[in-house]
Amino acid sequence: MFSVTFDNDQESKLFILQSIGKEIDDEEYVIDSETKERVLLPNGEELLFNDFAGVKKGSEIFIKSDIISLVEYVNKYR
Amino acid sequence: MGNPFDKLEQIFKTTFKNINFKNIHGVKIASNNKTQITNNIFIINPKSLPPEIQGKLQDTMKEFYEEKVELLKEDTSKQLADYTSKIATPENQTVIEFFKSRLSQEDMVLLQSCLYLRTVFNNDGDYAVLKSQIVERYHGRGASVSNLCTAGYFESLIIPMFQELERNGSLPNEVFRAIYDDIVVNYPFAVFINQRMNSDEVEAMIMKKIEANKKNGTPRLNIHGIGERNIEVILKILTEIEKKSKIARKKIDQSGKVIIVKLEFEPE
Repeated sequence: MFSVTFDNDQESKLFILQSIGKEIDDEEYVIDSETKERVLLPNGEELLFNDFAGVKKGSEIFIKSDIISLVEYVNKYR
Repeated sequence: MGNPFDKLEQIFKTTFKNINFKNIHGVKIASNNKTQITNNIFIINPKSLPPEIQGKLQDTMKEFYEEKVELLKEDTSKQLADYTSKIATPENQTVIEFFKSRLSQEDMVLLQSCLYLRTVFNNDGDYAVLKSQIVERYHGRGASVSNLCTAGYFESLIIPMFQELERNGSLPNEVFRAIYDDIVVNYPFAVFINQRMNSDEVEAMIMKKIEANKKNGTPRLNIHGIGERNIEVILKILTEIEKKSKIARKKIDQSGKVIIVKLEFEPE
């Protein structure tokens, strides 16, 4: 299956986020480029740029880079 | 999904004439790498591309994402594969199957994370980061479940105890969860020593649990420690514990960086 991944450096993460219409606000949170609203994780938490670990295909379901978020993601969406 | 190979070929065919795009299994965006193909992965450094090509590449990334490709940080992708593989072992699945219809979703996520942590620990992996992530989200409950899980108490004590309680019929979920809650908050059968505790605190915690267990008729306590420093602290305070409590039997199991001291004493 074809995969798309990115490295953990800031430029690669920003390149991916910009590709899907997102950017970073002054406080380093990920926001929607059009609405300027902060992106929310499935548990309602706002997503810091530093924590951005991925996004589910064709959705607004974002993944944070810790084991709990990963397990929640697997349980709910895989 | 449109053919990803064709999309990439359209963008890069003039720059990379010798690449067979049909052999590519995936794309990795890596700003600190050279743009190249390694192990059938097309590693792309956007900074190395002209702005016009960067724009086309971002449009293609958007198409991949919209048309059903997950975008994942590479280390997250690897951890996802590692988690999926490690959580599938029969010993982990036995615990998951027992609890999955009984615990809340939140407690199940915690338990699954701790089972993964244990498997990483048992394979000499880097468990410290995982444990700090678990504790950051679940606080004391996270520390407690990960300790109980790593020490094997889910299989050796907790599941058998529930099986005994349910011998004559299933417990209602709210009763099951209340008992589970009591176990993960109080766990009278064990103490776990952590790096932040000094010798006096360790001794006080052990003495408090021994006294409580004597009164409750639980004549045993297991002391767990991981790492040289914790082993040293446990061995140092053990003499004091023996002076203060009437210990009937003591067994020390030490293997590498792990120690378990099993104490048995007379109930009051």
